[in-house]
Amino acid sequence: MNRRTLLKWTALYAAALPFALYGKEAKGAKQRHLILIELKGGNDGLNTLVPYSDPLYYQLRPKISIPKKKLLPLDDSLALHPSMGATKKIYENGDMAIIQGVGYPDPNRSHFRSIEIWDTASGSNQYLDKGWLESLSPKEQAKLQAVILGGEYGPLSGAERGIIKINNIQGFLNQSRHIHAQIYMTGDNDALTHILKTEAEIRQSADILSRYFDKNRALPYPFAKGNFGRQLKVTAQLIRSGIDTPFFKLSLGSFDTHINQKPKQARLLKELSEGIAALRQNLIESGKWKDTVIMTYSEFGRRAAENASRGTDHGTAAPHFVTGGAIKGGLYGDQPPLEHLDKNGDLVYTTDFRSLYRTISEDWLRNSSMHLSGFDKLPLF
Amino acid sequence: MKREILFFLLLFSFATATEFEQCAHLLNRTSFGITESSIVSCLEDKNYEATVKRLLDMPQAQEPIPLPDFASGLILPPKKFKKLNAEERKAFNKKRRQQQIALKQWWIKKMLTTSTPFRERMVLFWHNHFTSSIRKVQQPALMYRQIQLFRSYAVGNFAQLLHRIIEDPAMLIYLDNRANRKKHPNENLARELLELFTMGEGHYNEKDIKEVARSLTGYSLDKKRNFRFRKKQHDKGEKIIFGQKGNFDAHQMVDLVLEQNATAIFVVRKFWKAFVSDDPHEQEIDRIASIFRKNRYELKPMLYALFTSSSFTDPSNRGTMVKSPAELTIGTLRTFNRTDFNPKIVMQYCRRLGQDILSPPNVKGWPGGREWINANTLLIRKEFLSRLTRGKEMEKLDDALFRNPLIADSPEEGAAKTLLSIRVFLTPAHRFDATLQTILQHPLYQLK
Repeated sequence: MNRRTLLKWTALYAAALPFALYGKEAKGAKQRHLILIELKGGNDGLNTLVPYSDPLYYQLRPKISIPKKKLLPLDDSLALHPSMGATKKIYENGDMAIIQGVGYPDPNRSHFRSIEIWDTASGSNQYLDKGWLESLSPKEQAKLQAVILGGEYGPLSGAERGIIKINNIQGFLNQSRHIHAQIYMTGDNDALTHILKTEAEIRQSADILSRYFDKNRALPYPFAKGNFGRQLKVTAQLIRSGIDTPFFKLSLGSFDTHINQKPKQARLLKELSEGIAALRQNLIESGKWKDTVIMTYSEFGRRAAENASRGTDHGTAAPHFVTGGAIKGGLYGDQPPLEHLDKNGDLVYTTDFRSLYRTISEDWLRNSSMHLSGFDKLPLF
Repeated sequence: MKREILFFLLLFSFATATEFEQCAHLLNRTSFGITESSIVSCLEDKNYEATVKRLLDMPQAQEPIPLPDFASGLILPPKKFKKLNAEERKAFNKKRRQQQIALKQWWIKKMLTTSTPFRERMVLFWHNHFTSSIRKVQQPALMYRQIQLFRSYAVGNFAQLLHRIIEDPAMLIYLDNRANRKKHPNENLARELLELFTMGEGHYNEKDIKEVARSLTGYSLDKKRNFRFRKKQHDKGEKIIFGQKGNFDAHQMVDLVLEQNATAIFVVRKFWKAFVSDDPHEQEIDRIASIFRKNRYELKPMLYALFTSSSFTDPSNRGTMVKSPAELTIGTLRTFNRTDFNPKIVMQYCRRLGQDILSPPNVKGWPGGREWINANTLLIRKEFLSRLTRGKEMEKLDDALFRNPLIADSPEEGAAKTLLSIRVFLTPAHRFDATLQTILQHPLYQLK
């Protein structure tokens, strides 16, 4: 009945590593990077990409709509929020794709459930355990697969290997010094094996980071102070260092603007827009921009009509931004029509977020293992 | 810290289990770790069976921690909220957030200081079984009432608890049963009741869920957020549940669920994974489930069978489960008699470690087991432990437990034996402090 056999232990002292840590570094093919920026709390799409030629927009939002003359028009019906000048410049350069009306059918308006749906690429009533990037992250041991700089593991949840969450590189290197992988073991205590592997992971990640990271090398284009600026800075430092990490996850927010939305969203969109622009400059300068794609996402957009507190409540579809040296800029998808709201008064999505995921996984990450074939790809590349 | 002079020799003990190790195992798995008084009491018991009995027959604790002032009532009737202006709402929301945090701290303080830690461990078990989240329920008073319900039924009767939970206000809000009306049934509570609370997937069909949902229509709340059966919203019509026909209301439906074999098995399997092992042993689970049913869902006989089962007591089972964040933080503080530690900091660590008390990630609860540990959380775990043993903090640790002659000949041996659940012999460092630091940073300390 007892499947466990006796554990066999051996003590090893000093630096012998539990298993071979470094594979051969791939030569030739350049590492592609995907930087995900989570707009935490649900960004209001209608005030981000504004359908300014539609009088319904101004009717639905008598207090929080943005006057035409302040907006940054992209064409004769759509305009960007006034604090997104930097985004408009990238758009004019042809590197910025704006995908309109991104959402999913039968939308859930709970922050927690809806972000889970986005993170796991599930349907509205489907419960999946693992993040959508988990299956895309290569299983090679010698690689740091993902660096989480803000928020939860989200799209990478469930990934066991080569993933770290850090605030800054030096701090992580200092912490990891206390980890001494000193035990070699055989036997079948799965829990202990898992911990020892994790310790080895930490040491391995720290070794990789310390090989690439040079704290004395300054960035040519500075980032704004603050939490999001810090996340962008670490991302820029790492990608410029030539590290072969495919995934970076950042987070900005909270966009949960139930009350007095205008100043708060303006500040956040400015941070986002200028942050992306500075990251782009740093990556262009180091020749990495063509190997990088940046994508925003959020659990939902917000209600079409404003509420009584000069804010907006939880809604559904919203526009998202995809930019990179390889991206064909432009507007994609359709603006959800304001005259056809759902019974809740919410926008009806026009592009399923899984179309975007499929495009990224197949055309950028060259991986078709995700089961998203039911969703049409977008011609972003 | 003089790590270099420490050598660990990890050897497996081939000897039969000593009394100490058996008791330590039981406390590690059930009681937020070991304290001096708890292990000494165990050693004084006649035998292991007597210890298990004593654990289950714990007295009703009389140790009042001042209740947060809002625990007795709603902070603001929902109707009044609508009349507030933007500024007032902001202030109200801020106050409510503070009260939610106060409630989490109150519970953590209770776990830290209680003389019956197994009761709090069971409350945490029920919180993770009949999940509700304060993020959705919002009102701290309702979450408080729900935990109190778990506390009074901690080792009581599962059938009675199930009957109570379908009238629990926090649960009715969390699983949307207020929207479950005769004309527009909402299946949320019905589905989770079968899938996660009682039978588990595969033992019922979609039609059963719809019929169970109908039986739950009208189980709602009044304006003060007390339970109210709204007769007009209840569907009195005939239902067919698990092949049986009748005009079942929710309590009759619960009785039908309790008649199903799958229910006892599912619940026992959940206990198995919480207390015995990550790997279910189906034959043993069946055996214990039949004890559970024979005793009409009384928890004590079932738990007695669980804790005396050879799967639980086998020496090879020690140190094979990962401590939850609450067990690691609260257990360590209890062992070192640091129950004065700021509960807010414990709460923050638990959240960073993935166990935000009163806010489980979803209705399935915390996944637990090995998933507690990843590169991020392992570093935070070690940071917490090193924080307790740094500089002046070290002086606040009480090591009387390791110096008790009933336990070991030397404090070093006492510490290794008590803190690590797989036998470790070590050559001590020059200073006991350094030995303690090394033991707490050891990978085995993450296990129970």
